[in-house]
Amino acid sequence: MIDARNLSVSNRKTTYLIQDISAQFSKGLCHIIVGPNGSGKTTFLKALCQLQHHVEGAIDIDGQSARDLNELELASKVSWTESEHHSPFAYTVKDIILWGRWPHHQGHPSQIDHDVVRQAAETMGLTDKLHRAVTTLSLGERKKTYLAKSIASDTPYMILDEPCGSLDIKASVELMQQLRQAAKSGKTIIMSLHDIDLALCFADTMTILKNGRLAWHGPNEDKNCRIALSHTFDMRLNETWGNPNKYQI
Amino acid sequence: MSRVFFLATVILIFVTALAALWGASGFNPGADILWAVRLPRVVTALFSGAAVAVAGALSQSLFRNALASPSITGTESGAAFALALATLMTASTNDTTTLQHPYIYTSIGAAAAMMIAITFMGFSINGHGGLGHLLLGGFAMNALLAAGTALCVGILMERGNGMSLYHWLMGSFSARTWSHAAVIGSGSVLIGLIAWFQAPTLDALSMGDDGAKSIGIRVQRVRVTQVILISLLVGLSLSVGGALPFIGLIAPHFARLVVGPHLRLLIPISALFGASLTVFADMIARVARAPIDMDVGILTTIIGAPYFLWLLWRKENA
Repeated sequence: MIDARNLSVSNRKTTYLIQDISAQFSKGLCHIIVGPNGSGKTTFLKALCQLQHHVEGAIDIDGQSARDLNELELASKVSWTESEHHSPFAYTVKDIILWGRWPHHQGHPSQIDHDVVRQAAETMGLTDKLHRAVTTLSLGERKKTYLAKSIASDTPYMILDEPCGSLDIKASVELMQQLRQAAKSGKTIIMSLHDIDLALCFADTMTILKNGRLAWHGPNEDKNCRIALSHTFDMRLNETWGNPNKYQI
Repeated sequence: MSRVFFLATVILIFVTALAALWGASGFNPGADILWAVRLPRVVTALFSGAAVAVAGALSQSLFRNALASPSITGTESGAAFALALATLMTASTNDTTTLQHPYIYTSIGAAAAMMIAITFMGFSINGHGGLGHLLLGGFAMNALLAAGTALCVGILMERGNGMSLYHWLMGSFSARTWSHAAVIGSGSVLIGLIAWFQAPTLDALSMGDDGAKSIGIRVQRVRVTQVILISLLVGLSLSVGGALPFIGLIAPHFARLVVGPHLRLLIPISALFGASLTVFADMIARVARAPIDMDVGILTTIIGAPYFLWLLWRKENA
């Protein structure tokens, strides 16, 4: 379980980006963070991954303070997938997926690492693109490459920022189903999503942020969840939202 | 891959042999000239070029930009300014050629300039600084440091002994001895090897700080090591041969076109290309206006600046 208590992140001018957020993310579930633009979703996720400066509060991972873990220990527990990827050089898809295995090989990959990479690429439908340079890929393909990297890292916790951004609808739904499958097999998924409908369809728990504060945190099926959502986004949500039969492939 | 390596080595051997043998009087230097004059000069040029090329390859990965190089980001200017200042301070002689342990000053100058570049050009945190940021920041850094250097040269000129510094700063391998060759040879090979062993980590750093940190890399430590290695390479080469503008840009850039971005290959291939280019440029500098030695930095700029402009043009029209 990842347990965040009274988490605040400020920038240098001491204004808070997120303030006093407490949330528990238990094992084997799919946790989704939603909130309007600028509500602090990315900041919160980065804070969980120890990628933010000026953090107050505590984060425990499996009962151990995240601050006490060194870089490699943390990396072998939690994988982080950014929402955007800039690659200045023409590294191949394979190189990038292999970086996900860094805590295992630290620059000297074994046959096992290569096999895991091939499997992860297959999962994301990238088998025939393994040797392509990422700089020649479309936005969606690049996204899939980094998702494959996260899968290859095989960490108990996967934290993803907007994994469905720049993916088409079919690829998005497939990805969500894959992530749910991963959660079923024991992984803990924590991700932010733009699409509330998709979130309602696939989440086990919802975390709703507004203006850097926690608006609501709890199980998806709780009826208060929908009330909090409609308050936060200032929209009425009828019963067509979050209908699990909606996205059938 | 091994074919590229073989070919680059053959080119280097060919250029080196040509440079060692070719003189104003033809291809027949006496054995004593060859051993005491020509070879130390060529070997110094070879390792200086290799050092600057490797520094360029490392800079490009550090700044996450294929157009970063020690001369663009102000690293070379920092080393040059430190050398000028040191020459000015040794009041008795004011002669750069007799300066004791010049590589200490140049390395410190290069390191200081790099720290300023990293701090103020905003590359350290997320590395999304972009090309405009790099070029404008580099422009300001170079202008500032060049002004400081020009001030030192001016003062020395008034004292009537600025020429040694002037020629040094323009880059010149004339009258280099085996002790110069030994300093740059041993230094650049050692530092190059250290960098080479870090290559996989540097490759992964191309994901940016967050990406690299999240897979377990100690980004800050790698960065500091890089700054030290680059500063030593630039400092060493500048202290034996003066500035070699654009070698640090052309060699790794061209090498990347041939072997791709992996630093395990890029570092040695850049070194071979940089060495060949520098030995070639020095040979032209020596024979073109014989018996007068031209400054080799002028030649590398004449080759390098148009290449850089062409790269920018190609980027714009891509």
